[in-house]
Order: sequence, then C-alpha cells, then structure tokens
Amino acid sequence: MARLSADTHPWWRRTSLRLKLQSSIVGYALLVLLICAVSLTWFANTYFHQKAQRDLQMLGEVLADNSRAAVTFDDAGSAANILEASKGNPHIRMAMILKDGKVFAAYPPGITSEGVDRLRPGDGVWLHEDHYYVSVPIVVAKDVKGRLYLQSDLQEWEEVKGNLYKVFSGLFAGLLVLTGIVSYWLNMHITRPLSALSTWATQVSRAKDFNARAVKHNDDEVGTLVDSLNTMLAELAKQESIRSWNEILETEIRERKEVERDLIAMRNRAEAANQAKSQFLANMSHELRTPLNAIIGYSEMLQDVMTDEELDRVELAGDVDKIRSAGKHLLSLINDILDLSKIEAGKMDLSIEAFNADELIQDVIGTIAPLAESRGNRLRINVEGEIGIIYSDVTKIRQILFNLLSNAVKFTHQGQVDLTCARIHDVHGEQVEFSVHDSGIGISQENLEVLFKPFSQADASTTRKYGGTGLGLAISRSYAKMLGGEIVVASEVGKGSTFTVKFPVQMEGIGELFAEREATGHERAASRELDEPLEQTQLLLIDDDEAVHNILQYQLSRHGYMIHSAMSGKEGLKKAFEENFDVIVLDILMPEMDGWQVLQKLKSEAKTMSIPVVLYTIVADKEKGYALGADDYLVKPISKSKLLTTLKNYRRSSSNKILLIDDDRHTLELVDAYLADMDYQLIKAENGREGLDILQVEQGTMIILLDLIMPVMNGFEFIDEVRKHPEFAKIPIIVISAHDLSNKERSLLLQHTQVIIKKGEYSRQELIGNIETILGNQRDARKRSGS
Amino acid sequence: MGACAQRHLSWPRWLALGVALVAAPAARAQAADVAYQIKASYIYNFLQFVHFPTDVLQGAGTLNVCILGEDRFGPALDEIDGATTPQGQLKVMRLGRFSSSAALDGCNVLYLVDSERQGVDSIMAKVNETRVLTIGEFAPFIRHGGLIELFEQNDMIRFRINEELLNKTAFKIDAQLVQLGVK
Repeated sequence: MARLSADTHPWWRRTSLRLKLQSSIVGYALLVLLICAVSLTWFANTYFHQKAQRDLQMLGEVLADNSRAAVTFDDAGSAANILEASKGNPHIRMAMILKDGKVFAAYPPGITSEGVDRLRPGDGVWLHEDHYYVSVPIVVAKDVKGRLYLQSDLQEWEEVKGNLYKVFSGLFAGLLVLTGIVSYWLNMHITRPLSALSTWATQVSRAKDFNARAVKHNDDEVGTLVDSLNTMLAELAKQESIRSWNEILETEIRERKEVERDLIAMRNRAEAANQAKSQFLANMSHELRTPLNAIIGYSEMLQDVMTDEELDRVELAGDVDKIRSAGKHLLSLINDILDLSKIEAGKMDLSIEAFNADELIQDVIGTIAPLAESRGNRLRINVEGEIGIIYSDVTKIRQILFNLLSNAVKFTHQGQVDLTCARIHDVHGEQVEFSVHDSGIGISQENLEVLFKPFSQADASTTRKYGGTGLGLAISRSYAKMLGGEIVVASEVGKGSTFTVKFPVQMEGIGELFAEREATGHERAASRELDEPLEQTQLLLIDDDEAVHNILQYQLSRHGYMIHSAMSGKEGLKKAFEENFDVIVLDILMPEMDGWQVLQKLKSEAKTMSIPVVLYTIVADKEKGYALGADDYLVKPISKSKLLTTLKNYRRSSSNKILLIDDDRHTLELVDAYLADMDYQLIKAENGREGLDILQVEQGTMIILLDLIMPVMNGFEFIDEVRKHPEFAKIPIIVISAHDLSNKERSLLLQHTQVIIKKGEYSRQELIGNIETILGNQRDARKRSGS
Repeated sequence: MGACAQRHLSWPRWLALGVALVAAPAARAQAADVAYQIKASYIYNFLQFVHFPTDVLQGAGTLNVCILGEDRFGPALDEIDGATTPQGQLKVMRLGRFSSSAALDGCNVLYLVDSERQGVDSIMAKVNETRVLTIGEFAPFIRHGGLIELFEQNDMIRFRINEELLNKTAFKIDAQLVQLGVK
C-alpha cells in the first residue's frame, strides 16, 4: 500500500532526504555563486569599460592638450615626445596625431598612417575589434589644429576576467568542499538519525513489537520525534493490549453465545419434550379414564342388577364389587399420577367456590366410613364451634381430607381415627384447621423426612402391605400449599400419627376473583331466568341449623328450587299453612318442637297433608319416619347428588329425547344402560358433526349429553355451533368428559352448559339426578309459558 | 567681429602655405616674405600660450604688438592685426627703427627685427622685460635680456626661451611653449 503510493509519487518525492538536502545546498550555493559571478563580472565589465573609456578619453585629452603647442609650432618631434609619454600605459597600442589629414606624430614611432582608415572621424571613444579608440581634437584658440588618436587594447580586461575566473573557480571549489562538509554534518545530525529512526520504525511495524523504544540522542526536533514515537508506541501497546483483551472477550462471548445457543436449543427441546409429555398426559387422562369409566359403570350396574333383581346371583355381587373397587382404585391411582404431573408442570388450576365445611366433612366421612369399618376402626368427628362457609377449592380440600383419612384408616387396625375441625384465627388470618389423628403404626423419624416426597411411602414394604402409590401425601401437601396453607405431621412409632392441615378460610387474592365469578354467575342465572322463565320448585326447609340452610340454598337454588327457610318447627308449620309448597325438607332434632311433631302436624292437616315431606336428619330411624307419613328419609351427611336425586321424585317428569354425543362406544352403551329403565329416548351420535345433524332431524331434543374430546368435531366446537342456532341454543348441555379442564375451559363451559361431570367419577344416580333436575326445570318452564 | 572671425579663420591658410614654403629646400625670391609670414604667425601663436595679467594690459581687451626695426613683414602683419587671442584683440604697431625717443611704453609685445641687433642693449634698457614680452629674431637676444629668441635651424624657424627670465615676468608663459623652445 505504502509502496504502491510511493510509486505513484513524482520522483522528487521519492528522492532520499539526504540527496535532497545535499542537492538543495549545492544548488543554493551554486545559485548564489552564479549570481555573484554574473553580477560581479557584469559590474567589473561595466566598470572596466567605463573606466577604460574614461581613462582613454582623459589620456587622449591630456595628450591632445599637451601637444597643442607642438602642433601649433609644427614641432613633430615634440609631439612625438609627448605621445611617447603613453608608453607608461602598456595597453596603449597606438597614439597618433593627425594634422591636415596626415600623420603628424605617432607612437610607437614606426607606425605609419596605415590603418588610419579604420579610424573614424569625430570625437569620442569607440570600440572596434577588441580595441578602444579615442579621438580628441587639438584645439588652439578655438581652432582645431589637429586630432589625436589613441588605441587601447582590452588586455587589461582579459586579465581582470582571468582573475575573476580564478577567483570564482576557487570559490566554487571551496563551495563544493563546504557543501560536502555541511552535507556530512547534516547527514550526521539529521539524515542519519532520521533514517535510523525510520529503519527502526519499519522493524517495529514488521515485528509488531510495540514494547520497543527508540533511543534519544539529541534534544532537537529529531529527539522530539523520538519522544513522540515512543509515546505513540506506548499508546499502541496499550491499544494492542486492549485489542487482545477484546479478542479474548470476543472469543469468550462467542463461546458463550454458542453455549447459550446450545442451552436455548436444549431448553427448547426440553420444553418441546415437556409439551409432548403434557400433551401425552392430557391424552392419557382422557384415554385411560374412558375405558375405566366403562369398567366401573358396568360393574356398578351389575351390582345393582345382582342385588336388586333378586336373582340368585348374590354370591357374584362380591366379585363384581371387587372389579368395581379395583377399577376405582386404578382410577384413583391414575388420577393421582396425573394430578402430580400437573402439579409438577405447574398446570394444576384452582377452582375457587364457596362451600360449607360441614357438608364437606359429611361427604368425606360418608366415603371413608365403610373403609374404616372394614379395618375395624372407630371413626370420630369432632367439630369445634362452627366452621361455616369456606371460599376455596372444595375438590382439592376434599382430596386432602380423603387422603389423610384414608391413610389413617389404612395404617390403623382396630384402633381410633379422629377428625378434628376448627376455625382458628392466627397470624395468617382466618384459617380452617383439620386434624387427623390415628392410633396406628406411626412413622419413624427418618421416614418423616421423606414422607411428603412423591413415590415414597414411609416404608417400601408398606406398599406391598397397604397398597397405594405414595403420592397421596405429596399431592396433599402441594394442594395445601396452593391453597395458601400447609400440612404438618407429628408421629411416634407404635403410638400413631397426627396430620394437621391448615388453610385460609378465604384464599388470599382469590376473594375478588371469586366475587367476580359469583357476579358473572348471578348475571348468567339472571339472564337465564329472563330467557327461560323456569318455575322453581317451592321447597320449605325446616331446620334449626343455619348452616344447613346455607348449604341447601347454595346447592339447590341452581337446580330450580326456591328455598323457603324456617328456623324452627313452629315457624315451619306456620309457613306451610300460609303458602303452597311442592316439598318440605324437615330436620328431626330441633328445640321446642322436633321434626316428628312437625311431621305429625303436617300430615294431620288437610292443607298440608298432600305435600311431600323429606326427612333430612342424622337420626337413623327410617321406619318411624315412613310410619309418620314421610315420603323420603335422608341421613346426614348427604351428598348433593343424593339430595337432588331424592328431591326430583317430587317434581313431575315425562319421557323426552336425550342426545348423547360421545365417540367412545363403551360410554355410549354405558349411558344407554344407565338410562334403560328410565323413560327417556336416547339418541346417540359419535361426534359433534353427527350430533348437529341429528339435532336438525330430531325435533324436541330436551337435553344434550356431550363428550369433549372427539374426532371430526369436538365438544367445544359443537357448543359454538349450537349457540349459533337460535332453536338449539337453549337446549341444556351436560358435559361428560374425561378431559382435564383448564380454568379457561371450565369457565367457558360454565357459561354455556349446565353441568360438568367427570367420567369415571359419577354414578348412575348422579347422572339421572342431573338430567331430572334440568328436565324438571324445562317442564316447569314450558308449563308456565303454556298456561 | 565677423571680419575678425574672417581674418582669424583665413590666416592658417597662410601659415600652411608658409610652412610649405619654408619646408621647401630651395630658397626662392620671396623666401624672406615667407619667413616673415611665419614669424608673424609665430607672434600670434606665442600669444596663444602667454597670459598677461590685467594690470599689464592698459587698454582692456587690447594687446599692443610693437614691431621695432625695419619693416620686413610687409602685409604679413596685417593678417594678425586685429586678430583675437584669449588676451584680447591684437593691435600691431610698426615703430620702425629704434630711436632714443621711441615710445615703447604702450607695448605689450616687443618684436625686435634683426636690423636692431646693434642697439639691442640700449633698447632693452628702455624696456621692462618683466612686463613686456620681448621677442628677437637674432642671436644672442636672450643674452641681452630678451625672452624669446627666434632662429633658423634646418631651414625651419625655431625659438628658444630665456629660462632665467621665466619666473620673473609678470605674465605667464605656458609650459608647453617653454618645453617647445629649444634649449
């Protein structure tokens, strides 16, 4: 690059500094010398010629003057003597006096008038053929007596010129010597240091050795240049080190980026894998539960058939029950595993709602009691004070309690299991505390540490002995944490264990959400009432327990019941006489006037005699109840479905078309079997599209049972389509699915469907109860609009 | 003035002629005339190289040239009479032969003709040689106290000058003239 640009430069830019200096010095000196020589020569020449002319003129005049007398008196000899005086001047070549055109006197004496022709007449000095001539008139008394001529050679000038040449030659020689000395000096003090510096700099730039330093010899400009170069090198060295650091950093960054890329790729793969796993699990939850649903459902039906129809097959009922319970167990295992997967994936959603703790307890106890009994355990429930309504996820709390109780029952034989409930107030605010104490085998200290870890039972051998997945406690603890609470355990080997779970009465930060949901729920209910003015079943509840009023209000109002509360027997009777009720739900144990008395009174009065009365109590005396005229007898605690199934008997019903949409053949057949002895016309479709087609053909479909995961058109799409047809939009939908719903899906479904039932987790009664409730509502509505 | 200039310019022809005649080796009948013509021009020429102080010249602008002796010049003198010199106009006065009563006081230049050779001492006695330029055409005029002595040599008229008198005269004689004079 430098070389290339050097080639393009003109030659004088490529010439070395030394040559430039030398040539400029010599040139300058020569120029000065030349100017001096020329001007001096010119000056000398001019001076000489002027002087020569002047001298010749003067000499001529003097000689002419001196020779006046000689000429006047015609004395040629004297004149010759006078002219001879010019011999003192060696350059006077000739002196001559002409008188009357003839040579009067001459010097040197021998010369004749020859050559006089050359002499020009007239006065003055002139130059002719390297000779000066002067002509002076000899004037006596104003008369020109004759004329004097002088001839002078230029020999003198030649001598001067020769001398000048010598001087200038000497000066030139001296100049050359001086130039040599000066250029040597310059070379020593300027050129050589510069060239050495240049060579050094070239070496430095070639070797890239920025730590080299130039040696400073002088304190002049070259020295300053050395200093500057050194400073620059130091700066370069700094830059170089920065650059190398930068390179190292860049390399590191590059490596890190690669690692980062790898990590991102790994993360993406992991996420994809996790996604695949989640998808797989979601599919599995559906795929696994669907056949299990069929197994459990059919085994239940078989059981019913074998017990109810009084066939001589009672001995087989036990076997069928084993199938059912094994199926249930498998379902619970699957549920546990799926739940744990969801918890681990952080996809477990909470479904917050208001519920009554007492009902929950009754529900759980009702489920666990047979198990406790089979293990020979006494189950004791101790509710301290009133628990009341709780805003939380009832499903999860139920599961926690069920896990704790089933564990307690499982690991206790012929012992005592206590469930203690209390509403407490501590630093975390209003809390509900459930404590399960057993007198079982207890848990050793080391096992306590791994107790809540998934897939770890206290003792590996317990898996074989007691069964279970070991997931229950892990799930329970996760749920408790999700609900803002915790589970603690205290245990002593051989003496039993105490598990205590505690969580807020109202989930923190959930209140608003819940309130909002309630509001939308009310809104939806209100809008449905406007669209579809259902005539509600007028129900009179006579119970001194306010909690029961709350629960029933909550449970039944959504199913078309208008609850009229009476807090005592007297109040109940008064209301029963004053108003018309479709059904009366009556508690037995009440102060002042108990349920028996009220029942007797009701049945004795004409106005109230025909009103069906359902006894709803913890007192198990069915015979007495029926004897006194009760229509049905429910023992507390009672599940919502049981209550609904019972109560629907007191609402009029008729045969109607039910559309069942499910791709699973077993489910279709199971539901068909469930509803076989009921007065329904079941129409089956294998996907949403087929369902829609059937809706077009089969007029008067009263209810739709809908699966969600189906080919061609799934449940969600089906709902969308149905909502677009005004004539079908109002048909109530019951969702029956094994699909695990997200909160979003759940809220979507809640807006457009009536009930959501999970496959494998509902009984025949439950299904029929739901159907009856809806059908009853519709009939009432139709009746009202018809009247 | 025009006449003077005419005369002044015309005389060199005479001189040239005179010189030519003088130079002729053979004496001719009129040789004497030529010699005097030359002598007349000599008088004139001498005055070219002599400077009189103003107090010597009585009449301003006039030089009185007195010829003492026989008139052998003839018309040659007429040529110089009235001619101009740096000193003034020449006035030739022919005094004839010397007599004791001769008035020599007014003369600035006194020319003694050869005829007066005998009475030269008495003449010189009457002349203040320091104030009057004396010219004699015979030898040994200088020995008698004269200033310029004309003589013939090699057929040429030459002159010599009294060097003793040179530094005493009131008038100044040009060095050229002195040098030209034969020693």
